[in-house]
Amino acid sequence: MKELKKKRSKVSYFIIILLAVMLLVALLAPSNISSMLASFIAQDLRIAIPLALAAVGLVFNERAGVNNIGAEGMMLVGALATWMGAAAVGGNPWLGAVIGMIAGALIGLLFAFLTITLRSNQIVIGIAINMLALGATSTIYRVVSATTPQGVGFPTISFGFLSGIPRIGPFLNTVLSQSAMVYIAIALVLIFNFVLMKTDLGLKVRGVGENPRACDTVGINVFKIRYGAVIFGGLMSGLAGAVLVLDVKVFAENMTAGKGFIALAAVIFGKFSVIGAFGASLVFGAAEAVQYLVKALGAQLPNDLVNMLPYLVTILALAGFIGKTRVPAASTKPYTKE
Amino acid sequence: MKRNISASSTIVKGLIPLVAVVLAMLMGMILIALLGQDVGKAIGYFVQGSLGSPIKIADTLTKFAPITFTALAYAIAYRCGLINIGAEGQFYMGGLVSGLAAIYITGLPMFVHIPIVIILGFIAGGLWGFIAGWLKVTFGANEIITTIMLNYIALFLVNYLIGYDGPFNDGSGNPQSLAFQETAKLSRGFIIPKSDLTIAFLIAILAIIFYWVFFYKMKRGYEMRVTGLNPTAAEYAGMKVKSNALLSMFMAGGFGGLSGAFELIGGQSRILPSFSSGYGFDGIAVALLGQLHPVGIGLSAFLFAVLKSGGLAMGSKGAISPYIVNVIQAFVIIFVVASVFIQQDMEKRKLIKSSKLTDKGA
Repeated sequence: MKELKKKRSKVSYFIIILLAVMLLVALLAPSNISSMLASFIAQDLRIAIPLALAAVGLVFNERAGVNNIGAEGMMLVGALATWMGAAAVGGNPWLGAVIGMIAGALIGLLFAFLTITLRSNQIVIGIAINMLALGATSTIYRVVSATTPQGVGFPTISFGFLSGIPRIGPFLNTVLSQSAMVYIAIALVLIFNFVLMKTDLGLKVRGVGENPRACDTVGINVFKIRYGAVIFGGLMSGLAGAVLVLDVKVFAENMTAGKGFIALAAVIFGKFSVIGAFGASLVFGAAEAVQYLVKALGAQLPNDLVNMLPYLVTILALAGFIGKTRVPAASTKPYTKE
Repeated sequence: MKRNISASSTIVKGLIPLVAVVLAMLMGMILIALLGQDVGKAIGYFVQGSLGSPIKIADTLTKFAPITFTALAYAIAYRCGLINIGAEGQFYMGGLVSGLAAIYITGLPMFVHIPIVIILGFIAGGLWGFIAGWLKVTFGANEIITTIMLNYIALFLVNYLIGYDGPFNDGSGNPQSLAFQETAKLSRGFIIPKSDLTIAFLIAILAIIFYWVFFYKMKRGYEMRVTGLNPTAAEYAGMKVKSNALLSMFMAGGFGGLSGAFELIGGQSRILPSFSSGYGFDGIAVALLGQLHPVGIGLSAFLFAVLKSGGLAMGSKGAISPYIVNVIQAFVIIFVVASVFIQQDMEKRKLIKSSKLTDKGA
């Protein structure tokens, strides 16, 4: 317990220092550098949010002892369902996102049935789910693409009124004027971190992932908790897909392009905690946002090499080069009641 | 665990893949029908495009080799108790290195150049697999996740090296490498003239035979199987568990690399971005469908080759996306894997029944 507190204070110091440095740059640096930094942070947030949402769902999966590499497919299905759903309900992004979440949850239910009830290999089913999602969304997309309108997106929350403040105003305006979803996502991260670490339900989820047999003997329904975690994972992946598609406002074949795996990487790099996964998503988002920064500076950095970073970091994290990551004890093991 | 090897269960085992494929095709057709497309026409394109003429059959068979190699990449690691999701990355690394050897090694006669290219492809893929094995035995890093991560690293590495600003770009303004030397291209028209079939087909069959000999007739293969089934027992029996794991990941990766090598020197003849059409993941499905059995893998690889080329034909002619094949493949995996549960359930019931009978007799 003591160790946990110590760790957290380290993280919070780090965040405070980071924020202070940013404010200092905003205040003191010439305006072009300050605006460059502001747009870098804004890009980072925009890129990190879908990763973080999927990662939150995956933390619950992993903590409950289910290794779900099918998040990629669930995101893809969520994205297509959101796009078609939003168009079907007359261009409402919120309803669209709900439809995307339901679609993701249904794929989660399929995954849960196959891996928990039928005790099939989680990895193999994860691969099958990804294949199915890529195949089905691309096939459906090709038929409906011509008739589905584009252009639905989340509303942006504007902080234009801050622009009047000298120096710091434009900086804050650029950083804070984001899609409303960014704020909702940050709230969700805090809420689900609380749920996992501080509530009875969270304790059950964590217990089921460490020692399902012991949980069973004290009367916890292992199957129910795991079903819940996997469906929740699908729901959050669906939401992540919704954010992706509502950001660029149109669906594209295989538009997730590995983001589901980066989210999984964020979970591992974030040591299977919700806040950690969010932090890791910001790091991975920053790696991608660097491209824009580098372009703005007129330098060149091959995109492909930058894209490699999240995967490289994950391997280093797994090998223990960046702190030791411990996988929940019952991960990938199906549970059988004797 | 006791296993009931009665005649009926063997028949069930053989039938399962067939039933799974039929059901999966049905699911694909249902999707096509739901989208308001002509199912009859789609099936027509599918059959015509995959098996319609000798040339079409030969083109289907050209897909047999890369799928077989990646299936072996999964199966070899699995036999040793490791899950290799990394055939896709091993395919890329094998293709990359053999491609570079096919471009930049010059002045050799064909019968020397091609073997060198192929061996380098095997080694490159093998080393890519070895990395995951090494991370596993040294640091305990989960090989499932590291192989997935290595897939992406390989993909981006290839795309960078041959990309617009990459060191191996051909300067044409397209993201691609130079074309291969003539001495490093496999000649086409193997067995069936004017087709794209190459000798890779024969090598794939030899690879399946090697897989069978290695795991069923050789000491090292036997040790690996024991390690895969029960690492603790293997350790007690004095087997080198770690070195077996490393060797199996190297061999598995090597076959993934072979797949990429043959795909490039027998087909594209230069390195293009994202040059695998998901062969690494096909291999996993094929190994599972074939239940890791040599004959099963061969038959499943053939079936997937038909699915791939038929799906491609459906995609190019009708309004149906060639991605429909992914749907069918996914359902094949799901049905096969789910059937294991049904089998176990059946065996359990049989056991209960027989125990009841003996109770009565007593």
